[in-house]
Amino acid sequence: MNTPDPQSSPRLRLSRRSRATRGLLWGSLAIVLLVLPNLVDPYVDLQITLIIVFAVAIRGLDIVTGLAGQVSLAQSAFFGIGAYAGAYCVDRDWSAPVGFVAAVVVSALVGAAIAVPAVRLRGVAFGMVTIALPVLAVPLAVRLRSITGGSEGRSVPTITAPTWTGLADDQWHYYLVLVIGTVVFVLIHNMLNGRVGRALTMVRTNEILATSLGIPVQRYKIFAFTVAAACGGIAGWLYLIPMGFVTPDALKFTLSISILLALVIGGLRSALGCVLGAAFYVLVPNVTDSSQPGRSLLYFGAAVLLVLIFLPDGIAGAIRSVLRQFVPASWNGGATSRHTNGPTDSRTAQPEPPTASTVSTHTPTEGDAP
Amino acid sequence: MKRSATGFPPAKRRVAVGALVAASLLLAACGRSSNQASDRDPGITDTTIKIGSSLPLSGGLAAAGQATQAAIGAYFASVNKDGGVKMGDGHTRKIKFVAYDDGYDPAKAVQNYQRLVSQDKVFALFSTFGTAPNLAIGKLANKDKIPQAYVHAGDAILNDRTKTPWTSGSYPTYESEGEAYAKYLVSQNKPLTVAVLRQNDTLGTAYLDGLKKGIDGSQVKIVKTTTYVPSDSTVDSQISALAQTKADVLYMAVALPGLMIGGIQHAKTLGWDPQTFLVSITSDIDLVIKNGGLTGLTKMYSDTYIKAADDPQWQDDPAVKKYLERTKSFPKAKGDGFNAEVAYMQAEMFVSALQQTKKPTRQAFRDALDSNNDTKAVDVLLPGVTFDASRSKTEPPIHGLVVTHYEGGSWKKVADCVGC
Repeated sequence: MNTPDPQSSPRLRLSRRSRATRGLLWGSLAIVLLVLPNLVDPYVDLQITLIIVFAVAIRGLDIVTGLAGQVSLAQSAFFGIGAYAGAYCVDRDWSAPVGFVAAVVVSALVGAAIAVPAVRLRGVAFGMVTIALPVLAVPLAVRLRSITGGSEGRSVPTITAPTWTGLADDQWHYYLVLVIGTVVFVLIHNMLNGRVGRALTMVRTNEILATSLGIPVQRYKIFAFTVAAACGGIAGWLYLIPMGFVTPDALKFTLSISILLALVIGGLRSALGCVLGAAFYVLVPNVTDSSQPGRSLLYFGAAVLLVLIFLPDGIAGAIRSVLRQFVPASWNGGATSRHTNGPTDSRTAQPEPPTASTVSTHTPTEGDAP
Repeated sequence: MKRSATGFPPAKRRVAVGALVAASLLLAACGRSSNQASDRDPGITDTTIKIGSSLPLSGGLAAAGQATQAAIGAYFASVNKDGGVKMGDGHTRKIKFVAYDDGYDPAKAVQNYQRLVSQDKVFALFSTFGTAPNLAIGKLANKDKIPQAYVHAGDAILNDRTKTPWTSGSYPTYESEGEAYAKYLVSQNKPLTVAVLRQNDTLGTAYLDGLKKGIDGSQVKIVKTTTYVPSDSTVDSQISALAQTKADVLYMAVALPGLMIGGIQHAKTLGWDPQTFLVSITSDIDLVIKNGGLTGLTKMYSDTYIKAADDPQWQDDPAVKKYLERTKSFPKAKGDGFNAEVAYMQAEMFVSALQQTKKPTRQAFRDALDSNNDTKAVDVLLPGVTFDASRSKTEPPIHGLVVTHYEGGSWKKVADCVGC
């Protein structure tokens, strides 16, 4: 079919033209995102806002699960903790930035506290330990009525748009969430694009080799888990902006599973994948719901299965392999997942064992499809 | 290696980014044309009126949500078949009813609210289900001034029109139910001990508060309280703990039919035979008593305000006959008879409020909700129970509860109506 292995084209040869095209693409995306809330109704605004909120939570999980390779089912707990911390601060009449800092710090601290003992475990055992957090958090939230408001949760006043903006509330919510979400994504991108990203990839692909290279494996796992927790906390705080309330539902274990599913569906180790996964999580139930309410879960499950069977690399992975057929190699994965295909890429460095994801990324390029 | 993300030289890039931000902000500043205050609100034409709801059509409360949807659909279908509702402004309108599934999740309910209001452009909300979803929706509805008519929940907080003027409750609160039964216990005029099992949330707290209020200063004493959470699969251990007190009365503030049945059966197997109180929402004859094999028990009490369609004593009542006739082609109404009939009652109240709406505006409809006292329009109410929203702004518009005793396959009245 095409070049046998387009991956091998060095990124350094990125042509001026394709760089300009990429700039144009990012520019148009930015314009679309900035103008969008004026073209759509409040419901669509709310949907997009929620997609960004969950994308942040999913991106956090991606660091610990996608990058560091540790399956975590605790993300909903951090999401809920962030939301509760934010709501608690509003209730105390503390300013929004204080609430934000509290959401990040509290969830990161809880994350670190869980991670320190948990990283001694691996794989399934680690996943089991992380389940404990949301399972414990829900009854705790119901009991700690003075902090959490009990089972009916905490309600905060809706943030209204300042009059000078001339915006409706839902538009203002959208911009707030968009700006903070973008900053989080850029920070994570920059962090993963260097030493940390390489180290985490090594931790995932070959722990023994990583240790022998002097990478402090456990410390990196703790770090990844803590950053993931902080992202969960930020997402929880962002969730308060459009929703205006938090109930113990936000802590629920099922939300953790949904976030993990969304990550796998969207595509691991990819910012785009996280956004697509979030979109899947928010939008697909709406579609399945309208066809026959009551069976929406069934259709949602079927949609999940279809994606997992036919797009084992997630939606982002599928887009990547389609792009690979048509555009210069330098585009692979866009700017979003370079850290994974960077120096420690399995196709250039040997040590990665044939995991599901590496096997499947090879299939489309080997051209053995009928 | 470092390079600019866009491929432009840094200076040009700055200009480009600046231009982009400026252009976007300009566009953004245009905002959205705000809703025009007018003599006609969205969702209403000269011939139709569109209303919406958010219900648990999936998940643990799916049967209740689907029954609600079916019964409302049945009533509106029959109204539309007769031409529609003749409203106070002289126009006769057909009702369009849209409902979305929230799975009893307040977050989903908020999305449904936004969808109903901004995409379906409904005139009003109706019979939105459950306390938590209604609280979440109510905040927005009161800000946007959208009528949240006759919520399908019995929490007192949803019945305060001085604080949330756009939210109107419908049936007696859980608290008043507890109080009505407590007064019945007090009226027996002897020392009684009460063991309580309640749901660990506002619903359970409200039932318990009502009980406490009603027995205050009397010979009736609560000796033990245990709780469960809705996700529990059994309440056996709680019942065992309560059975040790050998209390005279078992007060079951249990909202889930399965747990209600299991709890009562377990008390029986333990050889404990107290007077058992079943809260109205889970005392359905078909769904709980027959289905749970409880028909042989003789000391079951409950309370109600409607003529239950599955109760033999009302089989020949014209209102119940009409109800059964209308819901015949809506089989899901049978899935949870009590919730279905309550929703049907709310639909009667709703249509009656529309008839009194003088202008095609939400404000006019709200005024009608506030003043509606047309008891005759709500024919499934028990004799003596009244419908009057104008009586108090902090009470539900339905007034009156009757404590009942299960005997001969029927819930028979044992005390005078409380609050009629």
